[in-house]
Amino acid sequence: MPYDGQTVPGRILDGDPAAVAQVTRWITQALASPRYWILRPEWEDLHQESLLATLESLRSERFDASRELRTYVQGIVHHAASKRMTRFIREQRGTRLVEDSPDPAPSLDGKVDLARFARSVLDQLSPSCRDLIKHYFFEELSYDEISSRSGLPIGTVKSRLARCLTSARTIVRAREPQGVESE
Amino acid sequence: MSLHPELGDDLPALIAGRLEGDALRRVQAHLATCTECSAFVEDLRPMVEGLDAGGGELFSEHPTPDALTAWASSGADAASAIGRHVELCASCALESAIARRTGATRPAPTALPRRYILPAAAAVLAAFSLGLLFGRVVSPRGWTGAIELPVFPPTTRGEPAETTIHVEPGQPTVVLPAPLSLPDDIAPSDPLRIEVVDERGKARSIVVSDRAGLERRTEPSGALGIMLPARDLPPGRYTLRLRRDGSGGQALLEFPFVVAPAP
Repeated sequence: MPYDGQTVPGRILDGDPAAVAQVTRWITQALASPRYWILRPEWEDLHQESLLATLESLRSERFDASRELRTYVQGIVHHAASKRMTRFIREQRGTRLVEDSPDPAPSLDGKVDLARFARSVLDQLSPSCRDLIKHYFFEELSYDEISSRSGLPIGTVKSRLARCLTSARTIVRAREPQGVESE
Repeated sequence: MSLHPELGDDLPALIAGRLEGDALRRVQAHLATCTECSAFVEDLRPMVEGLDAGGGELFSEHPTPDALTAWASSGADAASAIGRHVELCASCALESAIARRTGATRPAPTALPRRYILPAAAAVLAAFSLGLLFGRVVSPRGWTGAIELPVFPPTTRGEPAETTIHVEPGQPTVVLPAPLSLPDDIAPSDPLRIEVVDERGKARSIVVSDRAGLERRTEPSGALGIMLPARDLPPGRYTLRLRRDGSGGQALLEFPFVVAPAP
């Protein structure tokens, strides 16, 4: 056993269902983000690929146990998903008549899809941003009311909401395929 | 975000649909001529529409992995709190779908115990990627050995040749790679059932998916890997059968095979 049996890597190699479930959680959280929304039909396959790569990595002791496993696993996911994304976009471009037309953002069909997408954006934001967006967008509180509840000055509430929306915009835009260079 | 300070707090209010009257008209007039601000509003539209569609459930905490697995294994009640969460959470929906697909939540004997999923999947991946018929794997529980991966001869309801699968002592998993060749009239969403039955017709494993799902999991070689615990397939004769789910009709694909101890 290359890793301590009490640690998550050791428990994974020992087949501990809870440890495997935890890794699956890390993988699915990384995959089900706006950045990889266009790959939805391939998420399950990418999960399998990432899980196998993680296992192989642990078996060959490539993971440094002094580092955080979650970051390591999600790095594997991003590597696999980015490769798949590159291939996907090239295939898409190959079917278009105008080579330099922009890559379209994946469509969001129906309320469930929209709601899942919103949830995915919220998951990428900080907890304080989520709270602020909940207060302002869902509970429709005024700045005064948010200020009273949170104990923050009104000006801080306003500037934080503005920053949170800017962050949200960056996350939303990540679903637009970009940055794939042609071979 | 304050692209244009003269808008003050009006842009967040507009995005949230909370602007009315003169303030609304003033911001709309600005957006008509300002591509920067209008792009900002437009970019956030999917999130805002999603917030409207999902409501307060979008702010609920994710269930723990254990709770999600337990929910998936207990019938995945859509009306429960976790069910409502999963409905609107892509990552939890994916997680529970994976649990169901891998059979981690299925009761024996149709289930592949979770401790066998990784070595079995690794064996399939290794064998296919290397183009070998035998993959050497190390199970997480210490079993080391060769998992035989015979590819069943491609046939459809003909007189298929019987394939023998040898199982080593202590081998945890048997992998059945079946060539997937489906008739054209099966739609991507048509439910399909893969079953492994013994000589007496008793089901040893049942997996239900659809054409699209099966094809997604088919290797480039055209083979679909079915993994079962070796303890569910003691030496004997079996048949792997694929049919339309619920039809009870003739099998679309059928592969008889024999499980025998390794010589």
